[in-house]
Parts: sequence; structure tokens; C-alpha cells
Amino acid sequence: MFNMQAFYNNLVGVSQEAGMIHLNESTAVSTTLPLQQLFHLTYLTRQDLDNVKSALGWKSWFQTSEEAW
Amino acid sequence: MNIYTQIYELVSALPLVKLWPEMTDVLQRIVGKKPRNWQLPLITCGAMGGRESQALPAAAAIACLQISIILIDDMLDDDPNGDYRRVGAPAAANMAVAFQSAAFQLIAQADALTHLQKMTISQNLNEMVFITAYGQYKDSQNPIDEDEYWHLVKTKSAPFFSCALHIGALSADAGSLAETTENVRQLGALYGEMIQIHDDLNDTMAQPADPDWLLGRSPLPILFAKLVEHPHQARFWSLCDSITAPGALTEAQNILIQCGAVSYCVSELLSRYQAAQQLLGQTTLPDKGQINALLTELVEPLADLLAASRAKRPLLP
Repeated sequence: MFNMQAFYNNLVGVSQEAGMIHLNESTAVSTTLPLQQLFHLTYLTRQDLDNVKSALGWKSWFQTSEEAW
Repeated sequence: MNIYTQIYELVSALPLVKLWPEMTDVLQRIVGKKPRNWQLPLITCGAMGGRESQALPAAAAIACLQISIILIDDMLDDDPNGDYRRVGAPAAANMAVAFQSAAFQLIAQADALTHLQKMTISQNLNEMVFITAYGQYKDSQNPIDEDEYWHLVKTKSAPFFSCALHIGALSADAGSLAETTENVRQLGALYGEMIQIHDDLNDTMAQPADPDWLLGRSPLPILFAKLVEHPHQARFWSLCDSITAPGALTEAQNILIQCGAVSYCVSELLSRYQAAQQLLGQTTLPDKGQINALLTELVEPLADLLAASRAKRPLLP
């Protein structure tokens, strides 16, 4: 499992190689999500997340109705 | 009769609840929301080949304990929507204790359970209540690093979900293999950690600012942005100090996304999903379908986020 700083460093590494990335067009969630896809999440803005939320009619972020405390 | 009506009737029939109209009011209001957590014992009882009636006492006990935990948590968080605002803190505190006791009474009087099942389930519930109380206490002291954060998650809310799934399995059959029910408990722990990560993401991305921001707490995304060395780290700390200023929350939330904090949460979600699927694969159960669905629904929304990220340009330095 990554720790936070190592994870960030890896993302920066992917960023530096961004020109070489070819995205998988599938919308299925991969259970072995490559770092490149996690890197691409950093392209988003908060407004993008808002748009996803409203377009899909989600009640809460990431559409979980469960609640922790 | 649906499960929520059955839980309502079971709890409201307790003699002391009948004497306490505010308890019935709180119960009725929360039953109306149909919390899905209350179904967790039914799912694992069914997966073990048990009947719904066998898991009903466990589901009712989980319902009472969730109400108890939230009554207290709302006071700790100064939540403007908490029941304590309506009935007052003294009444809310006493009801929290009463709902906790009701949970154990429901198990003790359950005809569907053997004496051994009652003992084992009560022991698990008691352990969960104890750990959760400790976790809530620790939550008032912010985690200073990632190790402390994960320790907090393992004590604060994950035990509830672990226990809910575990006691459902224990309700199915007194002769169930210990290895199987232990695997279900571990699955529940992973599920609980995934719920906590989702909850952290939801709370930190919400507008207006959630109490996590206002009280200076460090859920996982905020902890990441504070601790990791990235170009906007100092700016993020500054924004946290004035989060109610115009535009500060949105800017801070954008930093959370662009510095990789949200990506990290997604990564941690998926690693737990993989571990849970592996464990489920190794566990002998008559019906794994509902447990599998429970886990999968926590990662399905990520596909939409990934799709939304495709047309964008990278911002990470």
C-alpha cells in the first residue's frame, strides 16, 4: 500500500510522462486501476465533480447513502 | 411487513420505550429514512443460508446502536440538524444510553436465537460499543499522520459495520464454522473502512463547509493536502485557517482534487475492494451475491468520475 507522499511522488512521475499516456476508453471500473487513471482524476475541478453529481442525480458525493461518524 | 416496520414494532414494544414518547419519536423519524445499514445483518444471515426472522433481532440491535451513536456524535460535532437541538442535550444523552441498552435487551429476549448465539452476539455488540466510544474520544484529537488516521478509522466507525455483518452471520446458525464468520467479520471491517473513506470524501467536498472544515479536523483528503509536500501545500494550510472567507472553500476543494488527495482516496478505496473480493472468494458461503453487491456499489461511482476526467488537461505540476 502506498503512503501519501510516495503516492504523490508517483503521480508526479506519471505527470512527467503524460505525453505517453493512452487512456482506456472503457467506463468499467478496473479493480487494478492504473496510476495513470488516478492521475487523470487530478485534471478535474470541483465544478466537474458538481456536474457529475447533478448529471447522475446523486444525492451525495460518490453516491453512497451510508453514513459514518 | 418490511424490515423497517418490523424493527420499529420490535423496539417500540419494549416496556421502557412505551413509557418514553421521545424515544418512539426519534425511532419513528429514523425508520422513515430506511437506513441501509440496518439491513447488513440480514445480508450476511442470508449469505449463510439463514432466514430473515433469524437476523431480525440483530438488525434491530444494530438500528438501536446506530441511533445511539448518532445521537452522541451529533452533539460532539455540534451538528445543527442533530436531535439534541430539538429535545435538548440532557434528553438526547439519556436516550443514547437507553437505545444502547435496548439493543442488548432485544438480543436477550430473541426467541430465534439460542443461548450461545445470544452470548456471542452480545459479546460482539459490547466490544463494538466499547471500541466506538474509544474511537469517538480519539476523534476529538486530530490525527497527526497517516498511521494515526488509519488507527482512528479502525476504532471510530469501521467496528460498527464489521459488527453488523458479523452478527448477521452469527444469527444464521449456531453451528456455523468459526472461520467463515471470522471472514465475514473481516469483510465487514474492510467495508467499514471503505464507508469511512467515502464519508470523508463526501464531507470534505460538500458546500457549505462541513464541520470537518469548521472544527479544523483532518479527514483523509485534508490530511493528505496538509502533510504531502506539493506546490499548494502552504496555500492549503492558509485556506484552512480562513475557510469561511469568500471563495476559500472552493479553492481548498480544488486543491484537494489537483494535489492528488481525491486520487489517493480512490486508490485506498480500490485496494480495500480488491482485498475484500479476495477474502470473499476464499470464504465458503451458500450465497455471496448480496455481499458482492454491497462491496461493488462502493466502487461503481468511480467509473463516472474517471469518465469525467478524460477530456481534461493535467494540472498537477
